[in-house]
Amino acid sequence: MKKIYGISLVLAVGLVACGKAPRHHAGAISAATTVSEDAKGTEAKDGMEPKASTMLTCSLTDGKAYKGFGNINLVAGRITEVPKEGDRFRVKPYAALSGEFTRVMGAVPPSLTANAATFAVAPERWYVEPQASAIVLFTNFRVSYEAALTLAGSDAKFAEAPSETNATANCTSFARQAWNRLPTTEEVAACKKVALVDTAAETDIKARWAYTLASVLTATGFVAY
Amino acid sequence: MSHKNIITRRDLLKLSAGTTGAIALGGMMPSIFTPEAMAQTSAQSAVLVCFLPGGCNALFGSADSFSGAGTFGVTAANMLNLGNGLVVDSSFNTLGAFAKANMASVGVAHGIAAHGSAKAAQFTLNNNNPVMTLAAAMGGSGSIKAANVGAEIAPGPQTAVNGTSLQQISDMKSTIDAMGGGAPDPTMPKRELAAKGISAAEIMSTSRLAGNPESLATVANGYKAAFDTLAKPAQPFNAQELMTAYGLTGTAVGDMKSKFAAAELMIRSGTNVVTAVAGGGLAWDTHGDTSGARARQKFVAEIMPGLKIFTDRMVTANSNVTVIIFGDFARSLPGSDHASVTVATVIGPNVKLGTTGKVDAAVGLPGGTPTVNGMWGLVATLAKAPTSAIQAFGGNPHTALSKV
Repeated sequence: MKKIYGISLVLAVGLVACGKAPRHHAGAISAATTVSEDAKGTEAKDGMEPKASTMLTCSLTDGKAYKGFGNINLVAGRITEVPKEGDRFRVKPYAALSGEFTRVMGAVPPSLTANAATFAVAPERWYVEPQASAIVLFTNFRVSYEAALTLAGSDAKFAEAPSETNATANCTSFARQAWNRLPTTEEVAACKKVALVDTAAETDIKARWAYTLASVLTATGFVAY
Repeated sequence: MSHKNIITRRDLLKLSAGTTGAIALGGMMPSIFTPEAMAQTSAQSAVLVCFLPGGCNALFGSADSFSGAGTFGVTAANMLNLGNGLVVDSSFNTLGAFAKANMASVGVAHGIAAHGSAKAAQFTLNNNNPVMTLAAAMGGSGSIKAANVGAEIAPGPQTAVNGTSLQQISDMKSTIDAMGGGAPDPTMPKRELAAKGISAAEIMSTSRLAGNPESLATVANGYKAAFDTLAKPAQPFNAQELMTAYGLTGTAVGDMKSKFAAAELMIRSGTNVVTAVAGGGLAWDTHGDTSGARARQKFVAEIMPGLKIFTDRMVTANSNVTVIIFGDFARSLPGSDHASVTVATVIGPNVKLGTTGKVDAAVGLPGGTPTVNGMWGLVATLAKAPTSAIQAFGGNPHTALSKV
């Protein structure tokens, strides 16, 4: 009885862990998946960028083969293993940005809709890998700035001019919300630099915070997943 | 590269921005920049690469090759003899006199009759994309040295060459906004502060960019180009003049006419090489088009309107803008399938009327016709790129087609 219980537990842990891991990759999951101890549930551990070497990998060897015209195996070119190392993150498509801005800022900035063409939306029934560019990133910054101006005008956290104390607190909490993880010390320092140094000559307090928050929303923690 | 190095480089860029003039073609161009901006400009070379995915029938650049048998529907009525051995399809007749007097056909004996391989071969030299190689070598002060207009991306490696990456342009309004030429808008961030904010965003992205060097390559390249663009002085821009000239009602870059307009915008802003892909997938894979009617119809409807406006405005005696048009390969006979050669069309002030792309009745090129490198060597020559850049392509074997 103990043995059966043990095997079931091992299988259950494996399946649950494997199901959580490939957030950036859809596909069938093999029961042969192995899970490293480091990787369990650490995909978005606060304060840590997930390490590629500890990411879970799932073998996709079990799939149904489909025949097409001419008896061609339609799944002949299917990728059967998820690359274990990096290059798993993708630029968020335009379709995802409305929801993401709503999640973080509470509303869709009007300039996001107005600049939809900038993000090169694929025609219906087509898929185009989203690409970033200078113009896309600038537009993302501009959209973020507009949204951040509104937020800074309504949230008491941003009523005071940036200081060491409130910049640390606001950068940390806002990045946590935008990126779904705690920022590192270096990332907070880069954010604080915008608030305390780069925008020091700006007299509008709301604008200082807006530039700061827009920089967080233009980092890969927000523009990629 | 450490953060410190990045900031130092960019701080230098920022410091130098105040003394670097806005870049664009000189005063000989229609006034889409205000006089203040134009006063800062100087003559500049640029290349527009117009790629027809799927193939480009040789009837356009070597019409007389088919007139004897009347294949691809070529007759005396639809040929245009431009002189010096160059006989093209009459579709080109709507171009201005200067363009028609400075046109040539270029033979490319790549020997490939498969789409993917032909695309890759024509856009891969020494493991790099020749578009970026050329754009990087041409120098200049443009913040975006290589641009792709529209959603369809030109083939070839997308890895940056010497810091030059291919920047996608999908909307002219947001591009003008990034250059500081848009209408005043209280919700628009100040350029200098936006540059610093984007620089900070890049630093916040260091770890993720390092872990995803390929899938997030466009982000890494985009940060650099965005900073460089914002660090430049604002370029006042009369967007309405451009829209009117090209007959556009919107600023989104979709059809070919808007791609030619966007190409003009980018060249005027200092871009060295622009790529424009004429449609998605294999839009020009004209199997079964034995009369050439479908290819002609597409060419006249999709390419010529924008090409005429672009060449009228940008390809002049006082400019140095070159256009090259080609596809995966020419179309074979009798079924308009895949030939294994390309016949490219070049138009520009440094182009000498003539042809090295006269195909035979079987859509083949004479022995000894150069391959892909030769085409890029010619383009680099026409663009007056540095000698080292021309040599990087193996030199220019098409000397008969170049005035320089």
